[in-house]
Amino acid sequence: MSAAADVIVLSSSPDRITNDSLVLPAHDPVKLFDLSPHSSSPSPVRSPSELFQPPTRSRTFELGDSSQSKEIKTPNEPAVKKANTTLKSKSTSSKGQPKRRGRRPAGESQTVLGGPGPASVAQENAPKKTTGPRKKRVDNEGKRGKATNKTITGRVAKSGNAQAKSLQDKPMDVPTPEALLQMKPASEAIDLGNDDLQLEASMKRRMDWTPTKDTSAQTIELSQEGFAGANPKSFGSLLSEYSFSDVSSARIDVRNFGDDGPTKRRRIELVDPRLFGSSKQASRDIDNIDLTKNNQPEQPEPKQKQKKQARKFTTLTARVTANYLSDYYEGSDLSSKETTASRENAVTARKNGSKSKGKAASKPKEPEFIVLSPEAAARSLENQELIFGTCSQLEREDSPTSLKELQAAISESERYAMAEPSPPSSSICATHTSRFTTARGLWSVAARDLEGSLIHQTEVVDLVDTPESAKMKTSTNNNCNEQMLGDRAIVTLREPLDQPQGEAPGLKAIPATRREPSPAPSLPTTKTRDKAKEITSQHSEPPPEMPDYSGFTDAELSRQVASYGFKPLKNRKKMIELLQKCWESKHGKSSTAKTRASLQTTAIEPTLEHASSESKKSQKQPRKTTTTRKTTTKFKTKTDSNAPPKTKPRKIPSTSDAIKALGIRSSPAQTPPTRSFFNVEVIEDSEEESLPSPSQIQARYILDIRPAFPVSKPIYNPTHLKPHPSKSTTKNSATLSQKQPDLADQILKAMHAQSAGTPSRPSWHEKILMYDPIVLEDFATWLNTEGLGLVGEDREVGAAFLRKWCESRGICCCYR
Amino acid sequence: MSDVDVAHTKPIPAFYCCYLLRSTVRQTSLYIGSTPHPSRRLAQHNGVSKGGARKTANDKRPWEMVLIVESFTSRTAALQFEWAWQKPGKSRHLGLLDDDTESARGKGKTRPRGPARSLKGHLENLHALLRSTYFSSLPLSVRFFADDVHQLWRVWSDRVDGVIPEHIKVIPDGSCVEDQYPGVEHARVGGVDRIQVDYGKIYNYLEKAAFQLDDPENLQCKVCQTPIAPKEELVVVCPQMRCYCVSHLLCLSARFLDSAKERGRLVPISGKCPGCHKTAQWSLMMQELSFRTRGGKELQAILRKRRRGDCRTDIAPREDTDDVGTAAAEYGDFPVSVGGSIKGLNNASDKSTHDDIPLEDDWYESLALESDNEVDDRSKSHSTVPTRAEIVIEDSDCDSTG
Repeated sequence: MSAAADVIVLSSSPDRITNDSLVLPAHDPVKLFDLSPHSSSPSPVRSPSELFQPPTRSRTFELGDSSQSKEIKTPNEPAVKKANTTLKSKSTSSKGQPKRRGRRPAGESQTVLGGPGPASVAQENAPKKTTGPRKKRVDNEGKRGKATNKTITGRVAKSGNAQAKSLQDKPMDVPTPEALLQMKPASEAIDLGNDDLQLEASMKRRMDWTPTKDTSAQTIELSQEGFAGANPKSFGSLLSEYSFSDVSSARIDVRNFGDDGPTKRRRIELVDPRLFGSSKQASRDIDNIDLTKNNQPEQPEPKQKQKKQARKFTTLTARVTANYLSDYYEGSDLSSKETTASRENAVTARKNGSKSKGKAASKPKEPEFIVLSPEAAARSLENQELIFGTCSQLEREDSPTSLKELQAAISESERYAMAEPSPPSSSICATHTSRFTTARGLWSVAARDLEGSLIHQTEVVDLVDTPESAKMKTSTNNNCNEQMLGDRAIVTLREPLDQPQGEAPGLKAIPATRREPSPAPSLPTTKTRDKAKEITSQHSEPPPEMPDYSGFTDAELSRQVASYGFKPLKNRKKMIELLQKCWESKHGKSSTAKTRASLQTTAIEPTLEHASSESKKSQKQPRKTTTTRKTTTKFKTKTDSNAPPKTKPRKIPSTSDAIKALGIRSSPAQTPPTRSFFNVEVIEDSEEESLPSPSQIQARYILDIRPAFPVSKPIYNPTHLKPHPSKSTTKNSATLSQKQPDLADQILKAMHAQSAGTPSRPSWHEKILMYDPIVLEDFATWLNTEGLGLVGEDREVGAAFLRKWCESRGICCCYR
Repeated sequence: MSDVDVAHTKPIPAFYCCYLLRSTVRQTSLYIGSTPHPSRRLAQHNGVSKGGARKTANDKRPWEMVLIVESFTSRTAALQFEWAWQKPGKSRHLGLLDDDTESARGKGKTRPRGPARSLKGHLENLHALLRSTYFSSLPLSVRFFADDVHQLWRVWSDRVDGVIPEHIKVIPDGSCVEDQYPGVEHARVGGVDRIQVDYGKIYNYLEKAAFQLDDPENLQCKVCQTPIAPKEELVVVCPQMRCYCVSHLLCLSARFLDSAKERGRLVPISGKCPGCHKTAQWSLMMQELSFRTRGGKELQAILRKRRRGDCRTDIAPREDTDDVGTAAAEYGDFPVSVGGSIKGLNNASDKSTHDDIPLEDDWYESLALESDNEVDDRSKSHSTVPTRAEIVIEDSDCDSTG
């Protein structure tokens, strides 16, 4: 216990360690064993100011390091157990005892004065264990709540006990001046009101400090210490300790926040860590739960699921019994909420730390990585999508070139829409136009480049240059992965790609469908560099473009299956098979194209110019830019081995805007070229499906238009129909000219030949005489079936002809 | 015989017109529409009453109707005319398309027309439309309510090559100087709100015809001299109250057409009654015929009312009806169907101006009596005829002018 606790303390707050180390030797060895000898001093120094800090931060106390939190949890567990045991054992004085536990630590601190070691230890434990212990404490409270009467009475009893303790402790305090200095706040509290004031303060604190509940574990440990070493501690000391612990936690929290830029991105990342963290927490929580089975509803600590369940429990039962158990439930709810919040904060802190620190931080995360349960993965993905979109936008905004790129894309699209064949010579325009032009040809042919590459590739290439690419770059820059990590350039390259993907859940889900070469990197889980590296290695290997579906989680598989338009299958093998088939059917061609691209890239590598020349074959002038893109993509494929050196030279030659943008962004320039071709494609796919970039949208629009052209012809035909009828009429008229008197007169004759009708059924002639609007279709039908037959006319008349006929005679006519 | 469901055919509307609306605030703002009830429609345009007048619901109110083209024989015709007037550039009746047809006669010169923006343009288009082959044969008349517009119209009529067919009467009304057309004074109604928009003007005519055809024994077609079965044949009755001439529709039309100089015309404009030798407007007779054969319940109600009215005021209506007949016959050479009947029956129709269909105070009684009175074939045959709700004709709310 003690060793573990010490380690934790060190990580969280080094200052304390120093102090503690000094103090510890002086104190009792027994206490040292039980309690980590860490810093009692730091907490008191900060206490006055920090006490006021918001509880939320204190909750997040765990954040400092995931590993630390885990460690902390583990040590806490036994303490909790002890506490529980103590609670149980105290059945006689059960009321007072739980309180004692909470307060005792404070008493210990005082005792520290006498024997500095134990007190400091107690304090240390409190801050370290804050999250876990607090929760426990809450649990304890909840227990109290269960025995509502007990709680009240218990307090009173405690006060008495505390007084006794305080009396005992006071003499102890006197001896050590250092402790006095350190403990001043605590000592003050003690002095002010050993009995009376302390209660008030405690009440206020309770009201103010929601997080204190989490510290229950701390209290428990302290209580243990108290039992072992010196139970007698003043109520005020306990209170003071509470404050100290909070302070420490709050301080840690603050730190975390400072690290985190509250960007949404981190949140995205958070999802995964959360899951991990939750699992970890769950493990320790489970222990706690076992220990504190009595507290079941109260324990927020268990896994999030458990928490949720607990909440539900509360909701279900609480609504029924709210009136009776209001206090208890409230406490539990608050605690659960707090715990969740704290965890979230912790997660965010982790994320932040990882991001802020760069990928280096990510390394420690690697071990954390756990294969998500399908449910969890699905959840995370779902949750992340929206965030992703916003993140991307934010990043874009950050990137200086985003606006330019957007404008360029817009202008380009406009040009394209205008269907101006000639791409402007300017690099930007040229690039965009070039791809578009290529796309046209492709569409017309078979949606392929002259080179035979799929349209998707071209689009992908575009993406690199387009603002999205800028996003990617920016993201990479932000991460400063390159700088931070001495890792392979490849790794860095991939990471940026991977991270954005990981950040954007939506992308992940969608891209997974098409991930041809490197599905793994795109996966959210791949954040860890190791995986990324592995992936990269895989990528570097000549394109086994088929993603390794077997490595996918069920959720991912199901998503990809869904992306192909199939219903998700329950059987994993079948899903994999299906995906493979789909992938083959989809990308078999693309794979060839990719191979080509890779080949080309190899050839092109020396200089972009070559690429441009090659590209020229298929494409026109603008191709240079396109070629640059291609080169970048191709490079990506190669990247793993050669990437770093090649990328730089390429940068220089590349005249495209993307390169410029890269240049603007100091570090990112390298990244774009190094990006794996596959990755790019993946992004593209995802974007297409999920969030199309403006350029893509326009591209789509254009593409759509193209097919529309052939369609338009048929459309024109109907329009021509008018002429056709006119022609037909002209024909008719021609026929009329030849036989016209016949037909027009025939109609007249036929009309006259019709026998008179009845008032309800007038003949056509009568209708005309009565100014009835003549329905041309009906009139034609009658003429063709009956009327013309009456006059021996074999020809038939159309509505259009009849219209002319009627209008020329001033007969009101209309189509039905 | 066609299988067209006759039950759904409507009688010739009592009134349908296209109108030109002008803003009194901004004289250049014009609006072309069509309506069976000008005064109601004008109120809608001016926001006085509810109704679709979206384009005119602006600061240009109030609007005034400067002219109307009235006496459309069907809603379809009115809408077609409205459309052509609003979109002269697209109308086949004004553009070059007319020339393509071998029978482009009623038209003067054909020039491509864009949408007219000015009053003058609208008048030009109107003039051309009235000269067009299609609309020139309709028994239309133009009624001006604004003198300046009428003056402009006259100027344009003098300048333009074509001439509006004689049967299309131009009636200066409202603020127009009256001496323009000597024979038309009695056609004036004085204002948009005075226009009679119901069948009141032919009530007497309807009554007479119903009375005359009620006894089929002695009926003979004046033209073909063959017996007439009013319930099985379409029979035309002379609008003259004292003329008991009855004839087949086809026979009379053939006679009218024969008497007319125009060849190729299918529908006569007017003709002299073979009985009284007074000129009868074909459109008037057709209106009566169509309403008699398709009027349905409305017709029954009117007839019933008239019958009771006869009992009460026997003399006065008789005189009126006489006037109607003579007036119609005496109006110039080409009296308008509406003619003098407007004045003569204003009294009767005033009560029911709120609706297209006149309903007298004793309307309910007449309904109650209906079952008693007539359960003859006619009523049966028209049992399916649309009720008055269907007869109400919607206003078109198209807008061509800014």
